[in-house]
Amino acid sequence: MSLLSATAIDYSIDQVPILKGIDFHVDKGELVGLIGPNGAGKSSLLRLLTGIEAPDRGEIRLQDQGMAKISSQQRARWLGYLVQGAQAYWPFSVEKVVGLGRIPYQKWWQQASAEDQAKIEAAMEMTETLAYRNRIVTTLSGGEQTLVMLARIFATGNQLILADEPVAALDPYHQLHVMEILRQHAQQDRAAVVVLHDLSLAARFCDRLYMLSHGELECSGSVDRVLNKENIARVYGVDSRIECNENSISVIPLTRVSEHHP
Amino acid sequence: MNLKAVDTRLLIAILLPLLLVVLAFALGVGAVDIDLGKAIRDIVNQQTSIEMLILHDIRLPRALLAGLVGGTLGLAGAALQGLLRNPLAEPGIIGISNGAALGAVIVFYYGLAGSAWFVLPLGGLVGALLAVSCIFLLVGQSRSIITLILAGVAINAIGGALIALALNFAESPYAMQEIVFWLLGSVANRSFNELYIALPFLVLGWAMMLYCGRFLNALTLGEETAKSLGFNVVRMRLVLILGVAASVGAAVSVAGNIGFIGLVVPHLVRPFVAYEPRRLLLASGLVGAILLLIADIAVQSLPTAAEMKLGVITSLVGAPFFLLLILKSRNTLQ
Amino acid sequence: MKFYCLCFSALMLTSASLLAVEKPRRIVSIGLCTDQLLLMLADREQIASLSVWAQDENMSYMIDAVGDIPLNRSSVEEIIQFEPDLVVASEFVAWDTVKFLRQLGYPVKQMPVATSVAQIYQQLELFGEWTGNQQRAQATIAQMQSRLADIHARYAERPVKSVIIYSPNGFTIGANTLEDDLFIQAGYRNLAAEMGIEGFQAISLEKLVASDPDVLQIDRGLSQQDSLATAYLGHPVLARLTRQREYLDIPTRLRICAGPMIVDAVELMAARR
Repeated sequence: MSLLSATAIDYSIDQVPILKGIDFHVDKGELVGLIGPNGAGKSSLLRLLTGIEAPDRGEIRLQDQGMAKISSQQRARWLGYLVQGAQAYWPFSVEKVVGLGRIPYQKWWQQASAEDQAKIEAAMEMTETLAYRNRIVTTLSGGEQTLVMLARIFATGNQLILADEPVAALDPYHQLHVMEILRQHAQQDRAAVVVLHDLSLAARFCDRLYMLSHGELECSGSVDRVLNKENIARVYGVDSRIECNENSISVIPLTRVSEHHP
Repeated sequence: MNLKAVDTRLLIAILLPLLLVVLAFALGVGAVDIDLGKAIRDIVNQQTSIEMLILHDIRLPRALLAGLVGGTLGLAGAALQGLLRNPLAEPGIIGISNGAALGAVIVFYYGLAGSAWFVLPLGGLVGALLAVSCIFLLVGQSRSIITLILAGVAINAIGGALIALALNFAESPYAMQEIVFWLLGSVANRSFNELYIALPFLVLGWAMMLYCGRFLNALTLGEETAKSLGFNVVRMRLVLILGVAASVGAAVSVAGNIGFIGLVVPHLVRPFVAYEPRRLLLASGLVGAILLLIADIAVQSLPTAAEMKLGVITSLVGAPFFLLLILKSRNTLQ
Repeated sequence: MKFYCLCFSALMLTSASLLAVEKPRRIVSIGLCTDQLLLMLADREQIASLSVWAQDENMSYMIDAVGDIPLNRSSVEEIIQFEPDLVVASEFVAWDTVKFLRQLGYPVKQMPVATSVAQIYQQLELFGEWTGNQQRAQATIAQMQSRLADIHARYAERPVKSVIIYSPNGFTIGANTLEDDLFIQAGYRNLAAEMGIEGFQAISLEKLVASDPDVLQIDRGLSQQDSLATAYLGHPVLARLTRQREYLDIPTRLRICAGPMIVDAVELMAARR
């Protein structure tokens, strides 16, 4: 039984069709990547998977229950959503932001309990953000902020993390750090779904990939199966070279294929 | 900017006694010098005397109302600034107070207020909600701070004109000159009657606003993250707006439109609660109560021929503050 | 001889007609108080128009006598349509209209504000002269004087009480006013006057309560809950303040104008002592 599965998903915004006939599932222990060109519908699919929007047609099941039947609080405890470009508006301290992750376990009048505090500390340790727990989150670099947002999700203790382009604007150090954390999280009966633009990172860290184009599922499966020159050329419109080393796969875009507009 | 925030319990432990002290001061201020000791003794012994009447029937409801209205405005200002993520938002500036005043004026001057105790504050609530609806219609999807303020300017102008119109057509010959009360606000000569009819709406409104505290905190990460944390954003927004409308509506219906408290207080308090919207709510309520009480003490102590309206003092302090805020955040106000 | 008789009769007739012309035939009043005086002292045929206030239930003592006399809103266009040979108004009423009418050449007579009963007698005489009803004026004065003396006598044994008035918008009435003189006539002390207040002034609720009057006078007729001004009169502390079971509630129409109706007011006040 999959942790999260979606069947025959159709979705449109203001009568504009965004997704058509999408099937998706993620099992325990997996880090699944959503890839595809801009406007393919990856972020929309991710949002549907978090349950904060509902599809026009099709069904999404979480822990083998229809998503619609799960209470928002229960969903908040199971699913962690890392939005694209996650930033805080008010200048909270790092610890305070991480503390927001405990909301699904608190009543509206309650303050942070000892258990909450322990979880917050553990989350910060996991993401190596303890060192700047008292700093104001808006003064941190992009990479550090993403780690803080991840820590917030860890504080909730979600089983499944859904991250929308978490490494898009980060330097290589933080890119690797974030992907390693997600990889680590996915083990031990948990899972993660990540939207990525960087195909090399996707190839290196993901167990399976879903490649979307124009709102439809182009292909899905293992990294070898999905990431080959033909698929990339057809979907992205670029000629590429794929290099396999011992511990990494690199996808290097070479030239644009002129007839194809993705 | 590393802020030394104050613990919530410490904050309450400082502000609450301060409020009581200011309240006691307010009870000692008035047009006539009375023997407070005797007045208190008479109240305790249930003896009717002139001192007791002045303290209990005239000064006490006035001071309590000043505190309650100030607290409401501070709290509502904090709630609005948190929800809209707009540092210039407050019930007066975005037109909610004038809307409430319009509702109250229509109820009061056209003979509806007597039909039941709750009709007057309800009129304020409905007027406030009407103003809110117009604001959201004008603003649409825009997140711009300036757009909201401009919408508020428009609603304020329309509201003020309609209030004048309603007063013009009212039966009573006194109605027209009373526009000063509605647009500037006052707690003079208010009795326990006004306090009692407003109180249920005030308490309900505060409860609704405080309930949204955690939601406002979560909102700092954006609406989508707040949704993923389990909040029904549409419902929470509605609860908060209703809370603002109920409490501000009731406050304005008995004390008129007292401006700028909702703007100034959250800004003063924010550094002390580490910018956390949830903690800001209660603290702003307490500080708002304290400030309006001080303003009312000032109004009664100033040697003017006729007692000044409260709104004059709050505007004299608040308007320059408003200008300073605009200057300070000129770059970010896009 | 016949010629001289003719001239003499002609002379007599002319002076008689001249004397007859002195009594105005189309008098217009543009204020409440001159309305009352006209209705009380003038012949009905003399009155061309009264102000709309004559129809006000709260304020007009002679409301029943108005009948179908045309009413005016003190505007110049209305007034000149009546072609008045005399226009009467109280001193501070509609002075724009008064000025304009004078510029147009109409005779306008202004009645000064009376601040005592003695002045009322003077004004009644004056009004009698203007309208050619001196005899009726004298009769009214005599009646007032005898009634007042009677009231003094009847209530002489009752103690003098302290009183203070509270009006819409928190106003009170102090010394050098007609109300003040009425209190004196009725055997009261006006606490506002004793506080040094002259004329009409606002007084804070605290000062009012602190004055600790024997009797509080509030005009209930104006204390409806339809404006903040009248809501002043409904503050619960006023109910608790009075030691009498009720307020002294003298209808406005009895005390707002200087004229014979004030005797009714004095009677009511004195009876409540």
